[in-house]
Amino acid sequence: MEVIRNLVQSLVIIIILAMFLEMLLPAGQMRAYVKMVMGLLVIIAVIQAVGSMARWSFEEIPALVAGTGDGGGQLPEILEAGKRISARQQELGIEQYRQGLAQQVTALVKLNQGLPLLDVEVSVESDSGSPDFGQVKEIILTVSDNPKQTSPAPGGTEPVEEVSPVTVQIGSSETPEREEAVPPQAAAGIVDVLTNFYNIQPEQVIIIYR
Amino acid sequence: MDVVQIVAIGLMATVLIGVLKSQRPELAVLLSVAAGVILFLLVLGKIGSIVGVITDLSNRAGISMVYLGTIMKIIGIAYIAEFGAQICRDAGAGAVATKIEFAAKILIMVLAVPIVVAVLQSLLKLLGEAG
Repeated sequence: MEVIRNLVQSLVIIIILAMFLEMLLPAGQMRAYVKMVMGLLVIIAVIQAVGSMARWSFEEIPALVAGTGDGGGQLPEILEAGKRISARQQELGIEQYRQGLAQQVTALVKLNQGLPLLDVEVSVESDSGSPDFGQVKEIILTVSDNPKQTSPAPGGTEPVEEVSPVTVQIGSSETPEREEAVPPQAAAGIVDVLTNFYNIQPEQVIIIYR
Repeated sequence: MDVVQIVAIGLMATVLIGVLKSQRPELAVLLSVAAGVILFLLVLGKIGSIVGVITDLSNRAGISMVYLGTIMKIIGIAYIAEFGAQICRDAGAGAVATKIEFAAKILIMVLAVPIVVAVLQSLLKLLGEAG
């Protein structure tokens, strides 16, 4: 940016100088000749300004890629550094994509089924050489045994499990039935939704009860 | 007001040249030269400030003073040649005026040769870098 600013500044000064010199020219037949030489001078000035920018580009970009700052990197080193940076960028991109998918799955589960979702983990194909690069490999849903326990809100506190009301019955030996953790219809439904949404097989959606 | 003085000197010189041309044509030419020199000397002191501004601008633009000096010389040659050619034409020597202009053109071209070479070198250098 600084180089472009300097280039524009130089061009503006050159134009002003050319206009100033043109006013000094004689009005007779000599004017055309002097004007031609002045045009050459302006061309030199513009070429020098552009040339300085071109030299900057050729010297500064390898230094930027190599991260050394001395600008003296050899071509193999520069290419190796480029590959490293590209791999790192790809890794970051996949991680961001994976987190986005996890958020999508969380929203789908909460909207459609209302499962007591604790955690979502999505794994994607990260091998760039694979034909399935970027596709969802597996979705692991961690749900709670207790339907009333849900995952904490971001930045919130850990949820507290509610204590069921205690009833004391004297003279009765029957024990109350335990509430079903997650209805199987709900689990099957969310698997169906996720397989349809992401075009994956039902085996790729794993539900873990905790 | 300098411009009033300049116009007054120019008008007086014109009237005197008109009067002398019929009586003493050789003196009319001399008077024309003298008027031109006086007018030039009147504005000579102000040329310095103009040259200073041009030098400052060229320094800011990164133009070498060698090129700027060449341009100044070329402008000077053009002015002097025009001045001489006009006097020759006024004296009725149109052929000599043409020769003066021709010589001035050659001198301007000779002075422009280093600039042409510099343009060529810069272009070749830029193309070489781009390739």
